Parts: sequence; structure tokens; C-alpha cells
Amino acid sequence: MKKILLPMFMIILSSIITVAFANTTSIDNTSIDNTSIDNRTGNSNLVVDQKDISTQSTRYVTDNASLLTAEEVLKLEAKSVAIKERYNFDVVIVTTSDTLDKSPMDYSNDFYRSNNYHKDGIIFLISMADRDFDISTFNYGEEVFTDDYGLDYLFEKIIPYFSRGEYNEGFSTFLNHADTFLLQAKSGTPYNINNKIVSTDSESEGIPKHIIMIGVIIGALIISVIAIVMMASKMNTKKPKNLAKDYVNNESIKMTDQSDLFLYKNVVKKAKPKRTKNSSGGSISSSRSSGRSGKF
Amino acid sequence: MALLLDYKCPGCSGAIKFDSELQNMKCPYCGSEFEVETLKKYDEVLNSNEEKKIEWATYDENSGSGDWQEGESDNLSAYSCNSCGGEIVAEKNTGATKCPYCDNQVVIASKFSGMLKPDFVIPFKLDKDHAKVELKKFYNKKFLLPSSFKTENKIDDIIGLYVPFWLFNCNTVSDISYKAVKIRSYSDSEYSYVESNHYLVTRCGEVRFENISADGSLKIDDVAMESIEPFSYDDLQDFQTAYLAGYLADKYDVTVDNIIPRVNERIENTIVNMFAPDEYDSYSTENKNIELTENKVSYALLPVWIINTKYRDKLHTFYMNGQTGKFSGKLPISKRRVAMFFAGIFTSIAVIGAVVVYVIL
Repeated sequence: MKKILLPMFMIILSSIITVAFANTTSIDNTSIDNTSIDNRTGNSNLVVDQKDISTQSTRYVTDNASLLTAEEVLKLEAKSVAIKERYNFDVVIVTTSDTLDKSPMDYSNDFYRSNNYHKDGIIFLISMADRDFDISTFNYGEEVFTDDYGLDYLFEKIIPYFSRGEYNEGFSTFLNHADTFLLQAKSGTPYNINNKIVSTDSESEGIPKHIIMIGVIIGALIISVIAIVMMASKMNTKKPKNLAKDYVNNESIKMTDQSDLFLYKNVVKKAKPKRTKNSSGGSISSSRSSGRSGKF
Repeated sequence: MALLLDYKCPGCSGAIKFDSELQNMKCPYCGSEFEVETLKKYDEVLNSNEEKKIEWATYDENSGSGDWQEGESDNLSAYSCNSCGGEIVAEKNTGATKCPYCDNQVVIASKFSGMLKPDFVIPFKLDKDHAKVELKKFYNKKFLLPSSFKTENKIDDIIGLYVPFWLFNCNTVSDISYKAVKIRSYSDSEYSYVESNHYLVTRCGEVRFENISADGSLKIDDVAMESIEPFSYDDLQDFQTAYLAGYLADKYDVTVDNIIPRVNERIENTIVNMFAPDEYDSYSTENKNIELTENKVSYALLPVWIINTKYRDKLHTFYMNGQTGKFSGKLPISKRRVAMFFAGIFTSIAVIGAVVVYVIL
């Protein structure tokens, strides 16, 4: 038994090492993210003291679907308020469990207009009824989040969070990116198809590090099992021979007849994945400049 | 209406109906469409091909080289093992002291009888020392072998045994049908399509098999005998008792009839494999019809070295083809070494992987 203990110990040790690696790397990762955002926001700190905010009602974050805790709502609101102060630009977040028979786009646009937000702004709607989302930009918002680049970028970065049910992280990331885009636009050269965000590797990778590490461990397990099975199969060379090719007289082989009768065909059709794009002025009820709608 | 035939769908076996709108046959279950002509041919192919058994001639004392001539078998004696019941034959001068099958000392001479005269023999080409060398080689690069095995495993006996084999010769005429599928994928701006085209493929042809061997001894390990195949039949000689000098021989106790199912299986597998429509993306055998136009069974003694070794009181038997040197056997696996290698490989890959991920990302 003692002899088995050593290998067991090695396996446990290696697992600990890999997991430890995963932890340190993921911590590094987040710290890099924070600093990079700080740089882009021009040293202004987004974290606002909670006491400053009115706790009765929030203007920019409306969580009708109750996806967030009260504390999360306040933190998101604080970020939005900070953005408003800095850029005079409304970043609105709304969640609902029912779009009142309207399309997500109509609902979010009506919401934006009926609440008298600033003429320049962006609204992000999550509707839980059919897991719809909508991002709509208004006026200056279109220059900040361009249809050819900015909206696609947001879509790519944010929607995965919602698909996983990480709502707070998703909204928070949305606000961070909004801030990044606004800062860039303020400098006179907004991000667009010709002026892309230089992203760090880990950001574009999109897969959290601890998941990669678990993948590494599973991969290592599979490879070791295969290696052992291969070694073990070499130990036994007593294998049945199910063919008798050794005994075929090759000169005797003669194909006398052959036919290939077509019977029927079967076609499986699959829709290509695509994003719904709505260009400006597509809908009468909407005053938005451009946006993205879809499912998450 | 000329006639109403009940067709079954080649795709799902549902009953097919004539679709008056399409003016074609359509399966109501899977929606596949067919030409009437296609279904007719499909039925024809399948109905004509009822699977038949492969029939072989029997083998008895009149089939081969005939019975022993007078005095020919006088200097042969039979021995039986008290322990496992194995029966072997040896020249009187050579004698037998140990049972090749169970490594037991208890062998008793008995009256030689009941053995048909073999038709052919392949004489031993490789000697005892060669078998020893091959055994040593067999240990090489076997990482999971218990470390004490190489030193502690003692060769108990190396026996040159003529193993009785049935040799099957035949001409085959075969008609094999396969269901084969060709897959094509394409896409347009909105959809991607996977189109599978189903065919009934028929391949007919002739193949001659020569000397398919199947061992005729109950006692010897059949799988081991298959794994030291093939022998080279260029060396096949007419049988003479003189070839037995210095070696042991076994007499057959598995009849041709008993071994035929396995031989037929191997013939079928080989033909189905050789005729297979590899140009398709996938296929499965639908029907096989193999007939023998000419067939002959003969009885031969083929040379096999049996190496009986003992490791911690357990018998490990290895086999070597006495003509080609092909080696076969099963070595014990050390659990400790499995655990060690597993941990070692796992740890190194996991750590290297972790470092690589850490450095790259």
C-alpha cells in the first residue's frame, strides 16, 4: 500500500500546483484589467462613495426583473452617474420581465424617451420574458458606439455574461466599456472600424483562466490514460486475427461485377448563426440612432 | 394498374406509398423520395442475395495422405499428462518427460493410436536458443513489467512442439452488397446544408485463399496460435516421421467441423473488407453471399516453440513460431508501475501545461 501512496501524493500535489497557478493568474488578470481601464478613464475613479447616492430611487438603473441586489444596483447607478457627470451622456440600464407585447427595441426606446433622458445616450435592455436584449444609441451615442464596430464590440464582450446568468458582472462590464468608449470619443477619435481597441490577449481569449486550467488537468488525465493503455497493450501480444489477408492469393483477385444504385438523398438544413442588426430609422416608434437586439 | 407491389423504404423500412402529386414513390415516415425503378432494383438485389452458409468438404482418413503405412508409426509413442489430460506424441528415442501445456512432470507412455497421418509438415527452422533470445527481446521496453520479473522469472522448459493445424484452401465467388453514403456539405448566405446520398453498392468478385490455418488442438491457446501466424508455406513438406526426431507432436482433437465457423468468419471478414467501397464516406454491410467453387482441407504439423516460465509460482507461457520467429505472449502488469507512470505523466503534463498557460496568457 505504501508504494501506491507516493503516486497518489504526486497527483494531489500536481493538482494543487495547477490550481494555484490558475488562481494567481486570474488575480493578475483582473488587476491588469482594472489598471487598463483606469488609464483609459484618465485617472478618474469610477468607484463612488455609496453615501452620496440617494437610496430612494435610481435614475439610470431600473431593475424591474430583480436580477440584481440592492447593493449591486447602487454600485452600477454610481458608475452611471459618474459617467453622466464627466461626459453629459446618459447610460441607461433597464431589466424587465415583460416587454408589454412590444419588441425589445420598441420597449427600450419608449423607455428611454418616456423617462426624459438626455438627447445623447445609450440604453441597454434585458428582457427575461424571452431572454431578449437590446442596445440602442441616441444621437451622439451613435458616434461613440459606431454601428460598424462599437456595437459589435459591446455585443461580443457583454452578452456572454448574460448567457451565463452573471448579470451584475455583465452590467458592470457594460459600464466600464461605455466609459472607455466615451473617453476615446471625447479625445476626438472615437473607436470605429478603423480605430479599434487594442485589446489584451486574455480579453480577446474570453475564456476564464481557471477553466483553461481545468482543461489542462483534464487533458493531462486523458493523455496519461491513453499512454498507460498503450503501454499495457504492448504487454499482451496474444491478439486474435480476424482477417485472413495473409492467405489471399493476390493474383487470383478478380472483380467480376459492380453496381452503385442511387437510393435516396437526405438534406439537413441548419440556419447560420447571425445577429439581428437594425439600422437607423428602421422603426417609426423608435428615435434611436442605431442598435443591436437579440437573444442571450 | 399492372401490379401493386409492397415496397419498403431503404432508409427506415416503412411501407412506401405512391405520391400522386410528385408522381413518385415517397416514404410517409422519413420523407425520402424514390424512383419506382430504383425500388424495384433494390428489391431484386436484396431478394436474390439470401445469405448462404459456406460449405466445406469434410476431412477423414480418405481425404489426405491416407493411413499410416505398415511399420511407419512403430517408432512413435503416445504420452498423456495425468495433470491436465493433454496427449502428445513423440519418437520413441526422444520421449517426453514434461507436459508442454501445463508444465507438469507426470507424463505416462501409452499405446500409440487414433492419430491420422498428417499430410504435410513445416520443419523447425529456429532452435531453442533463438527462442531464448526472442524472450529476452520481448521484455524490452515493457515499462509496466514488474521490475523483479526479468531476474526472477525462470525458464522452466522450452519445448519444440509440432502443433496440428487444419489448412483450408478455397476459391471464393462472392457477391457483397453494402449500404453506402456520400456526404456533401455546402452553404448559402443563410443556411448550411449537409446532403447525404444513399446508395446500394454491390461488388462481385473472386478470391483464392491458400492455407488458412486453424489449430486442431484443444489444449493449445487458439488466440496465441493466431497471433504467431502466418507460417510460410513455401517450406511445406510431405510428412515423414523423421521430422519428429527431437521434438514433440500433438494430434488433433478438434475436428474440421468444429473449426470451420472461425475459418468462415475470417474469410467473410476478409472479403467484405477487400471489396468494401472505400470511395464512399461510410458504409455498412447489407448482405453477403460467398460460395466456394473449389475447396480442400489438409492436415499439417507446424513448428511452435513453447516457453514455459515461472514467476512467483505462476506459470507464464510464451509462444514462438518455429519457422518465422514471430513471438507471442502475455506479460504481467505491475500495479505499482502503472500508478507510478500515471502519476509521472500526469504531473509533468499538468505542470508543463500550467506553466505554458501562465506564460502565454
